[in-house]
Amino acid sequence: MLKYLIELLKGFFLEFKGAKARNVDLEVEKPQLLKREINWNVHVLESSVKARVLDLKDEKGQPVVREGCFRLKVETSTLTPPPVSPNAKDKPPLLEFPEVFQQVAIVEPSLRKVTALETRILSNPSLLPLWRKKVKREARVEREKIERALRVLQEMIEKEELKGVTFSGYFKNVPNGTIKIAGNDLIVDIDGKNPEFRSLMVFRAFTKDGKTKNVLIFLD
Amino acid sequence: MIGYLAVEKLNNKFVGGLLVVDERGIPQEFKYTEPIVPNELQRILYGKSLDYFLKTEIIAATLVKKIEKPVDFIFTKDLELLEIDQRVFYLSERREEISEVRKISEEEYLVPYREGALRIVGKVLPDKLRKLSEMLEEGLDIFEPFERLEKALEYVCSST
Repeated sequence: MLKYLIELLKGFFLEFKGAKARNVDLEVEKPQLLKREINWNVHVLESSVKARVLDLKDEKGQPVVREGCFRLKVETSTLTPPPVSPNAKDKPPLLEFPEVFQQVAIVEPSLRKVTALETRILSNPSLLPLWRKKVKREARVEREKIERALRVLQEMIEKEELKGVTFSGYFKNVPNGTIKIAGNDLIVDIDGKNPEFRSLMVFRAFTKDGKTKNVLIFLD
Repeated sequence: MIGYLAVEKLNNKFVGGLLVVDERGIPQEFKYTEPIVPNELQRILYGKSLDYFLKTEIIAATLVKKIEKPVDFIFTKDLELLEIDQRVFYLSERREEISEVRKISEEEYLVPYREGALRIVGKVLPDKLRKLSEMLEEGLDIFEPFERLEKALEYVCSST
């Protein structure tokens, strides 16, 4: 009976005090250190674009094609990485760093006009072709002038014993200079800038030895 | 004084000249352009208007602006050049024989000239017309300087 009571009391003690613990071993895991390497690569992007620009009208009102080079340069500024978040494991730092770039765009247009219709004006009033004047034969001749010319011609025929004479033409306003006969016209290389002008009658004379020559008779 | 204006296309080169002569046909001034050869891109850009634009705006108008001598007339045989300046007149010869100056329309006249008539297109003042008639009566060969001008332009083109 006593033995029964002792066991009963032991049961009560256990109920109220609990089991007596003498030795507790705690096993704690070491904290994991997050190691992240952040590479801040700074890029400078530079590119150029060649452009041809067509102006329908420039200041002179003519279409012009210009060729130029537009350069675009993008530079990054100094970047300061943010402190690594305690929750870095859950949130990668790049997502928490919204400020990425400062951009500087440099446009350097170097335009070049490649097509413009222009001309230079030059001056030269002494060019030989300008001083070579063609004088046309007149359609009508005044009677008085014919008579004067015939008198001169008569003297010539007697003096030089000409076989025959034909009339070539009458020319007015013939300037001083070297005269050539070209068909019905005279070609005169004008002498000097202030030449004298005269009227001229031209005959073709045939000599006794079978030759021909032009006879020029100035009338003024 | 009389000016003569011409623009020629010689061997694909555009060249223009302005010759000023006195009443006797003696050269007083000669201005000309450097020959222009349009490149392929210019031909594409200007298209059909290239010839007209070169002749009028680039060559003829520039030449007339640079003229130094006081001229009563600037004659041309090209109707397209008529628009560039009020001093420019179109000149042609008619076989029709007339005895006095005749006004055909607001800007067209016939003037007695040798055995025929001279047709002048442009706004001519009456006193200028009278002066021209007098010069023609004195025997002015009004077309002759055109020949010298054309030969001078050929010379310019061949020497460049």
